[in-house]
Amino acid sequence: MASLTDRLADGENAAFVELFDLCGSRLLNFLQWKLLSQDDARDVLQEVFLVLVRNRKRFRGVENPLAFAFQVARNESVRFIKHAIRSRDKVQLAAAEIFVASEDCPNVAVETAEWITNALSQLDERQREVIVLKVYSGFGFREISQILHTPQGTVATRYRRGLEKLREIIKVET
Amino acid sequence: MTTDNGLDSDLDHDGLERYLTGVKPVSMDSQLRAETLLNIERALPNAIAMTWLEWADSRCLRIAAVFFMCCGLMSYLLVHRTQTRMARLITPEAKSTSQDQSLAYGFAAKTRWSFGRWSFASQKEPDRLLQDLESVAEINSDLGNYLKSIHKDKKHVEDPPADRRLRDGVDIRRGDLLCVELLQQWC
Repeated sequence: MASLTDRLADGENAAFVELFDLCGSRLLNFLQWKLLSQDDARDVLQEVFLVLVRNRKRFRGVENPLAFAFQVARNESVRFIKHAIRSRDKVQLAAAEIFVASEDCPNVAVETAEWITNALSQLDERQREVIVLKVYSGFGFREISQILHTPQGTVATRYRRGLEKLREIIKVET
Repeated sequence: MTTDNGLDSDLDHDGLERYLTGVKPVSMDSQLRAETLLNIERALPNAIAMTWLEWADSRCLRIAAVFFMCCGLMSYLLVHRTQTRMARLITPEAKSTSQDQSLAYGFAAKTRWSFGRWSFASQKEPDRLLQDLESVAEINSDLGNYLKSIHKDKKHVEDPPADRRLRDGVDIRRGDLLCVELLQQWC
């Protein structure tokens, strides 16, 4: 059976559905953090898959199709921000847009989600990007370095500094 | 120390990671999924058509580029060869130096003798040259009449009238002198 990348490169519809189910939610979450807007993230997500369809031949030499999809998503989000007409200075994400409440203890989960949303929003964009990719998208440093076109060491440093900053935010707010 | 959020402020990276992963990101809603998959389905046939168009475009562009490059090269070789031969015609002792070529090119351009109409046989056939000159006269009456008058009078003109110019403003004196030299050689 042909690999997913080959099927994607051949333009097989089922392969794109499979890819979408594999990474759609994670991509949406990543785009929400990149664009700080749920509506924009939804728009860009659709555009990302259209770009992937148009450039499907490029899947042929791709080792990790998920990382490639995230790479395209990141490029599209950067392009979207660059061409956004309205000002995006004071956009604040709502925790409820990013995280789902736990059924076990919904109140605690909501509070935690709000705190994490607030803390991550205060991070430098590059540090936040790495943390979101590592923690919520489930990528390793090697894959993140491919997605961001950044050396693995730099990615690890950004991640470490991001966590240190998060800890500082905890201390300040304690 | 434990914060209000239940997070130990002195925790290490692993603990912080665990805290961050304690909340679950929202999943894709069914509406967005359906819309996106529909877009993908619609885009796929178009994408295939686009691929053919792109393929055709790239091939056509390449073929056109090669064709024009060949035309350019052929034109250059033709002009270069003609210029050299004309330079030797004008000054038989001259070699095909760039100066002679530019002289010949100026001669050809200024008298508006197209390369196609120019006959190298006219070197041996003065009447043919006259025919050519008459055809030049059809193209440019000022220059043609002037050259014909020179030929008729067999007069050696060292300095043609300074105000003689082609319609497009190009100075013809240099070309005239060259024509005169040609006529004197051949007639």
